[in-house]
Amino acid sequence: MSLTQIVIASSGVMLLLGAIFGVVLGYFAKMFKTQENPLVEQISEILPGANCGACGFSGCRALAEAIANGKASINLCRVGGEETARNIAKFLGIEAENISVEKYIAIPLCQGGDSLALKNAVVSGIKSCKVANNLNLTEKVCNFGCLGYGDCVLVCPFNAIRMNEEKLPEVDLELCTGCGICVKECPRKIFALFPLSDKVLALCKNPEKGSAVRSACKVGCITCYVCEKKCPENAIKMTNNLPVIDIDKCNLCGICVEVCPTKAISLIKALSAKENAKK
Amino acid sequence: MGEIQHLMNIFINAAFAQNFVFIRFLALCSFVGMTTSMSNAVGMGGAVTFVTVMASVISYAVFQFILIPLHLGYLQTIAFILTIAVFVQLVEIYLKKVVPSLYRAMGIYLPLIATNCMILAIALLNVTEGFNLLEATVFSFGASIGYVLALVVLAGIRERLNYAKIPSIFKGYPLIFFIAAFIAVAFMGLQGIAR
Repeated sequence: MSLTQIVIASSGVMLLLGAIFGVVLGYFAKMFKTQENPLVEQISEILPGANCGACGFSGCRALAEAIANGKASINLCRVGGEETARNIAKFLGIEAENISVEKYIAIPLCQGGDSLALKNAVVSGIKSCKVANNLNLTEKVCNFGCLGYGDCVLVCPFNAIRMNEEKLPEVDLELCTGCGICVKECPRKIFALFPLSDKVLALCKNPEKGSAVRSACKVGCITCYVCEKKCPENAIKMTNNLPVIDIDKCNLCGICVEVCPTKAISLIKALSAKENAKK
Repeated sequence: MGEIQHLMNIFINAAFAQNFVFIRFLALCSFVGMTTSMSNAVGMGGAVTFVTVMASVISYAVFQFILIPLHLGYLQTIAFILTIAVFVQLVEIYLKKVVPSLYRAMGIYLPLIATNCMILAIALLNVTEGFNLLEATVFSFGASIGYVLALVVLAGIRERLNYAKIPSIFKGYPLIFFIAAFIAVAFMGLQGIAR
């Protein structure tokens, strides 16, 4: 065979093979055609793409699919907030005068930092709350408070949490979107999600009796019932040895904050802080 | 030696004694990449088994009935890669429609089956070893079973490693290659079982 013949034969065979395979593939692709809603792609471009899961879906794409199929309302994205909801409404042609996205923030409910919580052990080795909690390798006496290794800092997708010098998590209200990942990840369940507003909260998670709490932490709730007695609105009820504050009744008078002997109740000015930060 | 025995011999040789991952050190990319969880490993194993068997049968036919009569044996590499790529595409279209969750979990590793060196190696070995069509099918099936076995073994170990306290210098890939090496040494002991 001459060179020309070889070249023609080779390219001919490859072309033929390619053509056959192409036809087979094309036929197969038609048989297994995936019906994909074109809206899904466009909506997921509007969504912030944080994939935090705060909306209750597994990620931004899943939410986009649900919105496109009419299974989810457009104001579920807490990260994007009202702006994203308005953009989606505009894109879908829905009247969107008063869309409100409920804003949440995560608040750590423990004040037992390094200097206030008593310790009975020294822990060396890897610094991870999960490991420490599973193996019970804890420094602090309190079995319910913050472990202080900062797993929440690592999991926060928005870098809104940092550990302060007391080794307690601090939430940056401007960055926190209320996705709730820290709530899920904290092995001691220190974090809780709250609607963004000023509120009075009991910052202690220890349900033990007063004497046990007193020997564990200087700022724990010792179950003295003073807050319940002194509250003018009767908004506080002790349940499980911890004060539970009824937000509907509470008028933020601050009497409980003053009377609490261990300063376990505190007024959290989340909304004002956020507004100040915006200004 | 009976025909069945001969085929069994080829199968066991391909799956264990000449295991493509542990003895020949092929397909290590997906071996490390797709073993983060058992379900991923099984899904990947299934996809690769399908692609390997189908692609080696078709490429065997292409070689014997098209390339040999036309004296174009040197086109085998490119023709085989074309065949493999087609079957990878078929699997991709199928998975996207039928098992979208697995499709998303596999991500980049699914189209990368096309560049999985094990599959091309099987197609080429079928030709150089002089197998007939039945032998080639058994060989490629045995080889992919060996691959699935390797994936499942490593995925099982890695799922347990998630709960282990690993020194930081071994974290991640170093430890995985250590483990792969140990399993490979164990597989060396199977050398004599097929001849």
